[in-house]
Amino acid sequence: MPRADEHGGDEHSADEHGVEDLFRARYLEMVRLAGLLGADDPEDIAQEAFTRLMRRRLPEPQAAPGYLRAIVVNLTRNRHRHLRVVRMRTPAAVAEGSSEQAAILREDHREVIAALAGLPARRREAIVLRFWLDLPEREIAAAMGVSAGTVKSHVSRGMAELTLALKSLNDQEAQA
Amino acid sequence: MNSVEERLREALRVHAEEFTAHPDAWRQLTSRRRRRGTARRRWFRFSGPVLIPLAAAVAVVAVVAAALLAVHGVTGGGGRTPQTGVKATPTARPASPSASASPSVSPSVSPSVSPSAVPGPGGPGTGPAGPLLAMHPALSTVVHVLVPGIVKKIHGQAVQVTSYFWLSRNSPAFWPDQVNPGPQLCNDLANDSNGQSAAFCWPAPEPGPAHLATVTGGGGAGTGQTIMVGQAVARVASVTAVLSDGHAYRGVVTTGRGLPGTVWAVSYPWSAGVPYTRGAHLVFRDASGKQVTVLSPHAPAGPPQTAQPASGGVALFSYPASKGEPAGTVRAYLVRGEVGFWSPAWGGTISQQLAAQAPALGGLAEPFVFRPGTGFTRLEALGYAHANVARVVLRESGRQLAVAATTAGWPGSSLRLWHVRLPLSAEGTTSRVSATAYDAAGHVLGQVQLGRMS
Repeated sequence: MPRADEHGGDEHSADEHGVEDLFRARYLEMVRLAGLLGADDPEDIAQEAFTRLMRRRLPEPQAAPGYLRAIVVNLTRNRHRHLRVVRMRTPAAVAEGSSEQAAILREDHREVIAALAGLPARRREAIVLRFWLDLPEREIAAAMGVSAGTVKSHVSRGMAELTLALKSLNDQEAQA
Repeated sequence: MNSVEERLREALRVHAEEFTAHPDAWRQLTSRRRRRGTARRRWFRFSGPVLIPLAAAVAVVAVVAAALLAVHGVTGGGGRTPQTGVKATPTARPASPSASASPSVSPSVSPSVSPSAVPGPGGPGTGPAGPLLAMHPALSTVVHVLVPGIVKKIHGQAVQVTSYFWLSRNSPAFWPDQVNPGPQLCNDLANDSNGQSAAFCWPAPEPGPAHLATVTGGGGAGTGQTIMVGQAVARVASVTAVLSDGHAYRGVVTTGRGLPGTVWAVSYPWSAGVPYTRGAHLVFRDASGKQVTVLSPHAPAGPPQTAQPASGGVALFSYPASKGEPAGTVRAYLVRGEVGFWSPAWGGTISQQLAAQAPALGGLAEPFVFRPGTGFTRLEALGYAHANVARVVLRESGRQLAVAATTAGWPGSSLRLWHVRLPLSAEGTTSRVSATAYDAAGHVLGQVQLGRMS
């Protein structure tokens, strides 16, 4: 199981050329994963994930995508914590979750994304990894650093909350 | 699968596509890594005996301070404090002082291109909107404004978005079946920091008593903010977006020769947790500060759909129904020298390509990647080529992905057509795929990067 290392590892241990192929295949996916998790600067997080990958010596190349996903999830979570502290100090700072959002998302999509953003971070992570990347529970667990059973619980409760939030929104619109 | 799951999957797919990668990301990554490596080596060379114990001491102090804060609570914050009334916030400050000083037409706004001139460096003609300007020639001056209030930074550099406006008209000769031949306001939202651009032309009812102000478009341009643009009657001198929580964001207004009124742009944060767009109001005032009109901006649903041409189509390929998307056929049309592809999966949109812009030797002109529906069931590249192109080879990072033989296009035309399936693994990296045209003898005739249409 790949494990996210927040403190880096062996410098110069990864082959830059080998990483380049992975970068070309996976970079955009990592940017988008960070964005869907609510990162305020998804590219910065994706670049940091690859930078850390280049400092690591992974036991096998196949572990790299899982490692990248885990780093992106961890960095985004840490970034949220940092932003919460920033907002406590500066009330007028940019709102949480503003990232590469599009103004022209369809209304329905916007409601779903807004409801998703309202979920606790862990549930949001589990749902994005499950329904956007279509990862099996084992790989979601690796990315989040939790057990497969916990993933199942996060997905189940997250979907229930999401359904409730969307229903509530629909009811409000119907009343309006 | 239930409907919530379907909605979620679709929303995630669409939302994910709003996040893009900087075209120079690999170089930035390698330089970032080298900078980091240099900094780490310097740190260990000079810090070892002194700084590590010092850092440990600071860490202890930090832990104590954190404990004290936890006991006594954090003061000076208190979270976000919604404001009432119209009041500019620090994040809403326009980038240009001249744009914020008074409710008058901003002097920072300048006409940049005359209708007959070729756009200069940095203008829409040199960026992604160049083809748009070519297809929708300007009937007015092309004016540009710096969109105020963009706060995002990319790689440490402040992002700047320029909005270009010009009036155009859908020529009946361009696509005979075009449903909207009237005037339209064209706009290019160009992110000057990363080259992203959202360019479109929108139906533009002439500003007047019935249309005091109109939203004609919008986008994010990779800023993480909502940017709305449009036009208004000539007496409008300022626009302000007022959100449901009371925050107000001042926009910019300008005009130019040939424009029927004024054009405007305004930007404000879009938070995933707070659907600002639905709660926002755009307040338009005249030079004396008197309110002219108020709009509740709903994001435009999309440009008007063009009808499928009645005849002349060449069927390229058909695809089966998949995950809620009906089956369909992709057809290519040649209308007065311009090539377009049409598919019901694109909502009837015709992508217009000028055959005359293809390389002289007979290469390719911006082939597309076609991806029907939401199920990632098929990835198809397609395009057209000139008469001497026998086959097209698609490669990514030097690795061959697919080979397509060209087929005859329209009777009486020298153009040929091609399409080929790509491996689904190429999804997401198609912008890095190159298409090389070869003649029958194997000589390279031209090469382009794949465009993308999904």
